Amino acid sequence: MKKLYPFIIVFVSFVLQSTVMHFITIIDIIPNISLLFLIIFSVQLGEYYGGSLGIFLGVLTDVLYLGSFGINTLIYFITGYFLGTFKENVYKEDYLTYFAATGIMSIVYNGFFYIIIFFLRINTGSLINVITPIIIETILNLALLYPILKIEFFLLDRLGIKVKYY
Amino acid sequence: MENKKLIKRIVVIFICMILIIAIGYTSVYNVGTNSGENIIGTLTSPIQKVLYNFGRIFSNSYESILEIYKVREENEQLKERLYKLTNENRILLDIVENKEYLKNEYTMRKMIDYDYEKAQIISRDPNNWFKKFTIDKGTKQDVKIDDIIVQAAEVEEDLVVIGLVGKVIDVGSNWAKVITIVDINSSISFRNIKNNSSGILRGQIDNTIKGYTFSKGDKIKVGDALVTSGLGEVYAQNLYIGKVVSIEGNDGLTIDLEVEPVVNFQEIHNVYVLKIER
Repeated sequence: MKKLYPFIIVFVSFVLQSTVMHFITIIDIIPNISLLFLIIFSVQLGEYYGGSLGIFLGVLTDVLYLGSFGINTLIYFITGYFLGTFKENVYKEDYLTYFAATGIMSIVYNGFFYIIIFFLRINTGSLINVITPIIIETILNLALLYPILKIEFFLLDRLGIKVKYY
Repeated sequence: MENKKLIKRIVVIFICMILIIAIGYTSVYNVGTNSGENIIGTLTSPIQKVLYNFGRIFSNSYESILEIYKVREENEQLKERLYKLTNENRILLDIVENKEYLKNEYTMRKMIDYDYEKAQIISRDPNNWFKKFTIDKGTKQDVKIDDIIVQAAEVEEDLVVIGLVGKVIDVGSNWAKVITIVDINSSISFRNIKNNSSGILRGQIDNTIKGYTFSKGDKIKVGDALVTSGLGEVYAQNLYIGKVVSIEGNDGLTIDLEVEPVVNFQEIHNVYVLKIER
């Protein structure tokens, strides 16, 4: 059962992301808390968890919101798996690790998204139109990371999941 | 150890390949609603509805505290505007009643009424790329793909359409996915109320709508009101889209324009589904 807890937490974050988070926007841009939880779990639990959580979150998003299946699944899977491979080489107790991972991955996630929809020939308008929301979303994600980390540490502690910090 | 690493890499590449094929396939062929999608949608929609309403109540109460002083002033302004509009309406009715062909046109437009269903938004696209949302009505309430979504008000048992929101693209038993007109995948053909010039509008990533007219000779000005033209047979005719806010004369064969939609997409929570017989 303990192995399923991260999936449940990610599912809850996904539901919150598509409902309540829309009331906490800045210039119509919403932060991505499901991505934040995925990043944190991938860094803490490794590539298997990262990859499978990525697929889980991606399938949910694609099935419920996107017309074409696979875009979010592919990006979340790569994000989760790639971050998970660094599990042994990063300081998991250091908040800076999570800040760096969040900053980079928010840009990578949206960059990937842009590339895929560009190849799907979906018209996105000028590049400035695309870059501004990406930058704002990255800043919002970074701003929300600290409270989300605190919540995640609290939940792990309560649920009795131990992360090896070495 | 080396073998294990190799297998891991092959599995990862294999998953990526399958997903890339899935993206390509589903973007070209419309797969439609499958049972898996329907089950996930049916299970999550009640939870989403509760949470969405929770967020809405929280945000509404916060905003109403902030805007408590504005309300009285706004009420006065609206009253004045109502007097002005009633007067204008009386003059227009007078003109219409005296011209037989205008009277016929007016009766014809009034006669068009669709079967409609009130729906509530229960969740929105979780990222900033697309502007889709889900509503709490589905096949159980006879909602179909391509039904039109509008913002409207029920006044004395009549449905007064305020503006076009979008259309249904996917439907499950108790939910339906809606693509809004500001989504980058959306395109609508418009008609200028003033002179019947027409063209195409597309949603943009920054919540605006941009488009072009079919011909460079079309007379279009900032402030002109645009409605749906009915071309393409998806959107019904004469649904209000918005006003032209800027025009860029380009050197090509068309005129580029930007439109401000009448609907504020972040503020709407209730919509109406117009059930259109096709």
